[in-house]
Amino acid sequence: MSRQTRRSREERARARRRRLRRGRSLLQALVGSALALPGMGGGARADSPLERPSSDYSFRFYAEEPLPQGKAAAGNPTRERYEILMHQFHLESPATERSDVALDIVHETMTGASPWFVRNQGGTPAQVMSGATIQEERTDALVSGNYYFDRAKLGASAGISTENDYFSWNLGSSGEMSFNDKNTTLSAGVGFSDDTIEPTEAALFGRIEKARKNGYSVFAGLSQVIGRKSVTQTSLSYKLNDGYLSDPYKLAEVGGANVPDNRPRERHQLAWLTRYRRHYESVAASLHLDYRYYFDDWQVTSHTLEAAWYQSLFGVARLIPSFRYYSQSQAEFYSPFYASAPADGFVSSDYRLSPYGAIAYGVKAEARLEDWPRHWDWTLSAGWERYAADGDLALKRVSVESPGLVSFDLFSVQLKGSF
Amino acid sequence: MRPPERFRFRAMGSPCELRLYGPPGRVARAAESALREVRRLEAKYSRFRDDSLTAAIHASAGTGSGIEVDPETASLLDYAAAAWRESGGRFDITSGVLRRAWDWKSGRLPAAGQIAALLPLIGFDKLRWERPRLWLPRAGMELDFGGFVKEYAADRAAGCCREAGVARGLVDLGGDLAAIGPHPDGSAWRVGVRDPRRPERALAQVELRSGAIASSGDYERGMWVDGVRYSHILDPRTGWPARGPAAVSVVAPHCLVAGTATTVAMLHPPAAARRFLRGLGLPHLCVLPDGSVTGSLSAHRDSGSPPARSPAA
Amino acid sequence: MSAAQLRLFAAILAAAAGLGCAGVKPWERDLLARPDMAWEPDGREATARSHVFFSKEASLEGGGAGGGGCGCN
Repeated sequence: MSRQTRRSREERARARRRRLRRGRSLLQALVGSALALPGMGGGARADSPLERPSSDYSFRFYAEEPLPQGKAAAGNPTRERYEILMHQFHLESPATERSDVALDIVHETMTGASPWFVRNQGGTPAQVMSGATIQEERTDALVSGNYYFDRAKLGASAGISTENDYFSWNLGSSGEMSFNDKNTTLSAGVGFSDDTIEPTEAALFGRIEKARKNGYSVFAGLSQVIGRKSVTQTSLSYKLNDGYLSDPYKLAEVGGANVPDNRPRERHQLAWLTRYRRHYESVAASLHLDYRYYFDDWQVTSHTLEAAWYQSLFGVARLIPSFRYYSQSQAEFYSPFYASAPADGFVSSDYRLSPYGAIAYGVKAEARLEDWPRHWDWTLSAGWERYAADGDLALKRVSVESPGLVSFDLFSVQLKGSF
Repeated sequence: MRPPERFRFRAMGSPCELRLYGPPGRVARAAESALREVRRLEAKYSRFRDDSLTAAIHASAGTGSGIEVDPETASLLDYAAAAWRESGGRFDITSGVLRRAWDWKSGRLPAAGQIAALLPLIGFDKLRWERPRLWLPRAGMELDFGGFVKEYAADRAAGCCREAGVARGLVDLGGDLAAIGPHPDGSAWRVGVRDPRRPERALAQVELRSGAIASSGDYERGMWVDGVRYSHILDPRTGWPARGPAAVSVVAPHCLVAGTATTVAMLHPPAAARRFLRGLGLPHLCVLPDGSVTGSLSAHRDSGSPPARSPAA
Repeated sequence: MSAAQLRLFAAILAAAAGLGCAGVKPWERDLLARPDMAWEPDGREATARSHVFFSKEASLEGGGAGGGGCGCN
């Protein structure tokens, strides 16, 4: 291509972009002024009901890394950990002019071994896994709906969850209200759950036969539009857990002998989450930043920082790299093993209550197909995330990390259709 | 599916129609409310009535004291200002005085100097508009709301119907259409856009579920002089007719915006009009003087069925 | 919560609640309405990840209430 042809092509492209910018600015100016007229901007709702039904199916494969040889106790039956195949089915649809409904069904198949107890091997904690391979299935169902007012929304949900050894049902309700030209939104909600656990092989292993726990939660949040390109939200969530909160499948070594995992029958939890979303027009991408501060009355405190970059490509695809940093302190009564029984009797060697940090990173790709065959839109996505927990990653120095810390890979694919 | 209730009437110099779905009582109340609103706007902005706001504005021209306007008129003036600015002066509500030079029924061009004498009275930038006060500095200056109040009335009429609880229907004010909502079965209103050179034929069928469509064409009014066609759409910058497309239709969320877009497009030379409409990003139809049809709606071209309604001239 | 943390929380609340000072007009919400600007563009992924992290860590997910537990170990 000659220099001249190239230049005139560039000039024409520039002129085209100028025209598009001018055209859009004209349109924006006209629509903006039109909306200021009485009765013209009315009817626009803060959030509106879904306009069309859509459905999606996701498949995820979760695979934990085997326990490192150096962390396993002598005589440990298997170093294999968990593998989960997860199916998620979702259906949502407008119901009336002011409402919509949704149905979520999740089915999981879990196999593998999980940490059982930690042995004191010459002063160093070593993990013993459960022997027999677990094979469990979990099915969840949730129905939810929303009702929309001019500047507000009300939602409710009800769900159940069943597993071989477990049954739970839950209820939730939430609402939100917008102010300030819909730039500020206040939201709040409550939730209740009732769980019953009947551990398998209870008699054989001397486990409790049946136990219950209840969860009562409440949250309140405030979101604010900062400008055309950014928005932020901060929210507080509180949950009261009441009942049997121990893990019936875990033991703790106390003075050389194994005793059942025993945690307090009450736990108060508070999480403070702040989120920020910002769009970068020139590169057609959006930044997601989330920070969560958590603490509870078991003395666990944690920090979570998540970042994701939503990069649009060619108008029909997206590439989303993401990163997550997590750090938690230990529960007050946690210890890999105990020399003697603590005064209050609470013991747990569960790595999930130990101090550690974790880094996760991943990437997801999405592609969209619109208007095929007629007015149907499709999105296909695939992603992968890798997570690794380590005592050295924690914010505060960890003197003895749990031998049971986990690393995993999570692979996902999803197909979504809007009709 | 039961057909909608139809209410025909005449307003703003054109045949109008409301097509509404709903229980008879509610539909009747909605139609009454919409009709009242259209008549209110007609009376308020009419240039034919001595008691209209427009007459009061004209009476204040050249007096230096200006006139205070109500919030609705103030917002309309803000709209007209934005449109004037963004359209490079093509949309100009002070251009009504050109009516004095152009007599479409006479078949004669304006006399020498007539246009030149009127140009000093034209130009939105010559007004002093400081909300809520408006000054027309020179006697003889006029504001012509006719160019956009009909489309605004279509939007307001649709709004009245919605407020009365009618969620499905169509407002048609002389070819400026505003959809209240689709048919009860969810299907869209099918609107025929008239072919400018063959008025009994529809150029395209446009589907409207919500939003509005406005059209402009050079065939109903205007005149032929010595074999040359002079469109009735006058360019405020020159005082002479536009030499642009033969017809333009634009779909937009508001009829007001659709109407402004068609007017501005008609005041571009044909090729520039095509580019302007493409740059707007709204669904549109553009018929050029050579008969060619372009625009995102031209894919919905129809062959031969009569138009549902005549587009506004 | 320490005094410093409380001060930070108050500052964020104040920033987030910049009532009247920040905000956009209705017609300026085009970018904010993009799916990639939503709090959770992919609901299923959010649910799945939340479930995974809740099962493997000690914290409460936050951001909402309701939803069941599970016998996850």
